[in-house]
Amino acid sequence: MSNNQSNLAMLTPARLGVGRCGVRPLTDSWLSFRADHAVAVDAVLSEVSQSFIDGFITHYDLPVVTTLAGDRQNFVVNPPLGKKLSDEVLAKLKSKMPSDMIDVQIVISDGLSSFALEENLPDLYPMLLDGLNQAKITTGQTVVVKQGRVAVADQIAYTAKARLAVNLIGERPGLSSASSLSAYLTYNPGPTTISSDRTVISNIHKSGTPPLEAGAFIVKCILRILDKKMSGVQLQALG
Amino acid sequence: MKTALLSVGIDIGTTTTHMVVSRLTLENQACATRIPELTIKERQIVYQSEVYLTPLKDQAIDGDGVAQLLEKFYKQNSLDARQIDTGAVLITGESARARNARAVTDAIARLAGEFVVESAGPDLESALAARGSGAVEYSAKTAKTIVNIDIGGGTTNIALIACGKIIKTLGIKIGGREVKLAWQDKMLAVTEATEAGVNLLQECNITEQTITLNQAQRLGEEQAQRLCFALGLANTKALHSNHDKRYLEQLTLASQALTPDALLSAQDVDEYWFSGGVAALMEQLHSIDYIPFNDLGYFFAAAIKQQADNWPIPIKVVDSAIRATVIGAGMHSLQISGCTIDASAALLPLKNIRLLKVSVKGNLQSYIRSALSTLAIDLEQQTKPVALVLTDLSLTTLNYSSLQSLARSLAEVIDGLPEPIIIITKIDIAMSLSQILKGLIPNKRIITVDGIDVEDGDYLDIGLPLRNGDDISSAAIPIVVKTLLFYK
Repeated sequence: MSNNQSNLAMLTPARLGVGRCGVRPLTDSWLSFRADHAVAVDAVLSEVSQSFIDGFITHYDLPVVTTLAGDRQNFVVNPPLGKKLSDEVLAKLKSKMPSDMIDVQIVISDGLSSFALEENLPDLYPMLLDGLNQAKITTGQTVVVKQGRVAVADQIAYTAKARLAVNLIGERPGLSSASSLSAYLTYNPGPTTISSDRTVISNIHKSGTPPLEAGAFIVKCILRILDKKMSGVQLQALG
Repeated sequence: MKTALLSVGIDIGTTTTHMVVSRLTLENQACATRIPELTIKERQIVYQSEVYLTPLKDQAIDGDGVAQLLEKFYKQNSLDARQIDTGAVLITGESARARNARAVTDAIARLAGEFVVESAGPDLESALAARGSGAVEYSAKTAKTIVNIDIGGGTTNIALIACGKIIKTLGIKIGGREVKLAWQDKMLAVTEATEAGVNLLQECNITEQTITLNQAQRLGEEQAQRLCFALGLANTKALHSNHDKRYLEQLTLASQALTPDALLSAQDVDEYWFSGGVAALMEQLHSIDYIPFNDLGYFFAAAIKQQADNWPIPIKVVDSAIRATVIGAGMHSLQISGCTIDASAALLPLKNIRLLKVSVKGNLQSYIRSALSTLAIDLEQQTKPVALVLTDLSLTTLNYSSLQSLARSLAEVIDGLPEPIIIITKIDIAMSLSQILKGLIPNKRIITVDGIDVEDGDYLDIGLPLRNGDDISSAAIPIVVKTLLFYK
């Protein structure tokens, strides 16, 4: 590799100029590819770990529910099921929710990486709660959803009569990061919500936007959305 | 919504003084779903002055003379100091050695707005020239390794750039003004020579006051040889024979400083770029009836051009070569804070804020006390805000509870400081730190800024947020870091 090319390769974690032997990659790069791929596959297939349930989830005393997908295998094969909770589960959740209207409903979903929750939430979640408290923004009962997708927060927030839904969800893993988190913010969420209604803050992880800073940043975004009474593309168009 | 800034740069060099006004356009470089990152996307030179000879009075820079030039430049372009958003005044090269450097910056402060950057020093100058010549940007785009060589009247500033990063800088006392020359009855008269110039004349066995064209060319070749040596490019045999030992040592030191790990060896460098006043002459080697600036520069430039044409590596003389440093100054002195700042526009702008560098590794209270006493600042007497620069912070070790305990100890120590309290970090934590501090001391006015490197700075200006709308996700603040480095 020329000096120029190796300089280029240093600029990105992508696999540039890794070389080859005949038609095959070199053993080193093949092994590291396999290893990174395995981490990504694990992230998709793994359930939220027991230590996370015992630690984080117990500490904040959060209810854990599962979508219609039921288990991980079915979730991966039938993605639409990850958008909905059953009526029974929803009714049970409703009994734990405050009866008054609230500003923000926080939902934590495993999405395609439960690792993302475990890595980022211990720093991000308390920052988010502190910030919302300071700004006198009311929050309901935070819910953890297994086999959940972005839209599941609409259903929960609609039931909770929340003005805004926050879904902290594990992103689809790639070969350079398997623990990246996104925050989807939706104003006035409900059955008619579509994707363009959502504001998203992505790439939250140690080498992207640090989770601490992301927590404080999400608070600022929430304040703006509540002030402007809109989110997603509409909000972006304001400039 | 304001996404462009007017920046003025004034370079008072050994030989020449000139000014440039550029328009800097800002752009969000992050993709739509990420936290925005504003960076300078484009610089466009709006006005540039003629190149004046630096006004001198009694061997020192004439501050009033410079102020007059600046006034003239503003008038010609119908500019008002108030229109300028940011900028820098640089006293470069040998001029920075003049004892009255500070007096000069005082004299022109009135005209350069409050954006005065008093700065000099080979490292900074090399970095500025490399930015201003476009070498840094080019290297970032192409991932090439570039050496930018800025040759002025008194000094040559060299920067090694790889992947858009300045890896090494070096300033050497080789310039075009070491010997002043003038045509006199078809002979060249040596009208003046610096100490280095006298050495140079001796080495070329020149003792007469008038010399031939050939001898002048020989002086230029000698000077070019020295430069090549410093760059690690020359056949050094000739140099070892009969040269001034002190000079040789200096050069050896210089070349070692630049090439300890052979970074500058020919095969690693993709291109050599030339900027500066002497480099500008490399493109204008026509008739010799007239010697630009009446000094060695012309012959020096000719000799470099001749040598460089034989190098195996491509060379390039940059456009507006003489203005590279001053263009770089306009860009470099301005940093755009990371977008996760936290500051209320009502508190801004702030000018000339003293920087206090404080390590977070130990007892903050004692760090701050000792930092204050080093700078001879009496806390009780201090009414102007100071900026705390938190160093030794690392994202890998920082978590919710450690950030909280840092904020708690900060809250204690900043209690006695005048408001607004400014906290600066390099790593991305301004918003989270600010949020915690507001919870702890809600009545204090605090500004937190991150993404700013103030390593070499002494003072700071914080400008108005660049976007006046209330969209916090795209607000950014221009920061000018000022240094007070003068040659000792």
